[in-house]
Amino acid sequence: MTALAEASPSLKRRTRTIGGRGGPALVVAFVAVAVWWAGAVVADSAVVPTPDQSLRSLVTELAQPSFRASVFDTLRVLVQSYLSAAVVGAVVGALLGVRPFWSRVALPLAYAVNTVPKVTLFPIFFVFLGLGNLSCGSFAFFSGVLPMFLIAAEAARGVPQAQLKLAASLRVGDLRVLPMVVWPAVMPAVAAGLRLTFGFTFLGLIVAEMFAGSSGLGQQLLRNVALARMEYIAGEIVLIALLALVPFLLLTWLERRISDRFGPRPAPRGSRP
Amino acid sequence: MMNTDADTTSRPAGAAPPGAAHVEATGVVRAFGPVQALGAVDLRLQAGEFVSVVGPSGCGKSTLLEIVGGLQVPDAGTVEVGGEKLAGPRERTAIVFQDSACLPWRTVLDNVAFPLEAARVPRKERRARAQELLGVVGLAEFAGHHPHQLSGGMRQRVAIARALITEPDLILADEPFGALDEQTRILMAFELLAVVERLSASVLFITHSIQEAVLLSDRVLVMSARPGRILDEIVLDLPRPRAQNTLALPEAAAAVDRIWTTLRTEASASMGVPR
Ligand SMILES: Nc1ncnc2c1ncn2[C@@H]1O[C@H](COP(=O)(O)OP(=O)(O)OP(=O)(O)O)[C@@H](O)[C@H]1O
Ligand SMILES: [Mg+2]
Repeated sequence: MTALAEASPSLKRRTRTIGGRGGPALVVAFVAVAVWWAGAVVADSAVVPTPDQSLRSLVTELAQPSFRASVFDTLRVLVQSYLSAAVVGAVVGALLGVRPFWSRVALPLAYAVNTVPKVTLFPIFFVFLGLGNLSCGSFAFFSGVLPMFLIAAEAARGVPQAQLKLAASLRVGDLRVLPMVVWPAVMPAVAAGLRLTFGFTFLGLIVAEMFAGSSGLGQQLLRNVALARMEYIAGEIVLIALLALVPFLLLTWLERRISDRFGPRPAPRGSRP
Repeated sequence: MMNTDADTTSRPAGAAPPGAAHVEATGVVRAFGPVQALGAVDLRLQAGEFVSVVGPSGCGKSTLLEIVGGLQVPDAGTVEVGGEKLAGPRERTAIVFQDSACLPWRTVLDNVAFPLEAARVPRKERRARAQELLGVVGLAEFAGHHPHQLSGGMRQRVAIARALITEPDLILADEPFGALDEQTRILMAFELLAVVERLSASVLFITHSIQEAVLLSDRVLVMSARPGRILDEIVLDLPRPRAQNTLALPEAAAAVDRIWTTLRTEASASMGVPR
């Protein structure tokens, strides 16, 4: 009986999410493509390519080994910088957030740095790390790690004192309290942070590649901008959007799994749109 | 529910079980910045003794309890528990916090088993023990639920079960029944008494209910408004086992009256009302 009571809410949530979240998103995507197509036909201009022109250019480009190499470069650097930003941000943020003294010291600083538009700091990466994947990847890491850090630190700061006191009264040490109390408590926030961080990291990477890429999608994009090849630009935008969509769906699924497991709190669930 | 036979609830008079905790706090002082929370407080608990503390809100009751629990270090004064100087939380002390402190991602069963997990007791064993304790607090069918699916009072019962699971010899309870309704409160209080007496544990019990303090305790300490000091000590020589009608005894009524008289002035003082 208890097993049933346990299983049913998450079951209900899952079915609702398929209809409730994926459905509207698909409709919006469909409408967006339709509007794009109609707009391009009406405008009938070289500046606005139709979706099928864009897709054809994309296929042409993907046939070239140098372009494919660029795509793989971007993907590889993205995966590396994202994973390191997510792990470093989450771990350091949570470690620091549970310590009142250190969060008082470090959080204002991190917020201040986070407010500076990150692109303005890119020259520093460029000067020290030169042209290429190293500076692009580092900048992407930097773009993602700060938001992840702030999210994890705030979540850890919000772990109720009573829970930490309970652990302390049971003589759970500074290290064991992390897996026993802090990680599970910050999990839902970190899971949401993973999704945001992905967006920031990807953005940072594309921007960096536009400035200093020796290859990569950002650099390809800029090359086509210089040549004013609109249908190629549009094709690349579609590719980048598709590349972002897959991890987004994965991370959304992961977030739902984690909040089912660690965040069975009624308020946020009910208020979720 | 629990076995509440007379022989399990009647306390062996005066005889301290060997090794049982006693508390000896002398001249304990604690301030938070400019806020003097606790004046010099002396507190003694004999082994197996049930001592309640009543006092106006914000007078330092929770602070005193956390100091005895080893969670806070006093600015001055010494604390000895079980004959040893206190250095941090002690293995055989259990705390029931003012807020139930349930871990929301754990089931009720795993919340109750948490102290055993902290002590690295094997999973099967700690779950069996937890299930047993859930029976004691009347939550056996809720083992698989999560805390948010329980009422506030039920969560507090989870916290009590969790405190008892390690078979402590000293229980520090901070308004453990504050969230319970009157009837559950009385039932739970008698359950607690039964378990505590079976364990021969000493109890430091913080409550805002004068009746509850008199009903359960061997001794009641009345604290002053902040900075908290002990104003009065009432020794209750009431028969055990205690029952609802204990409060009808003339001695009990007199004790309630005496505590209330002392507290009234302090409560007004703590709320800024002139005496
Ligand atoms: N961590 C803290 N930091 C700063 N001040 C604190 C802290 N803990 C307690 N205090 C202050 O110390 C005083 C005593 O607090 P305490 O929680 O011990 O009171 P209490 O008697 O338990 O009150 P209540 O009956 O309302 O629970 C209060 O004035 C409170 O503001
Ligand atoms: Mg308190």
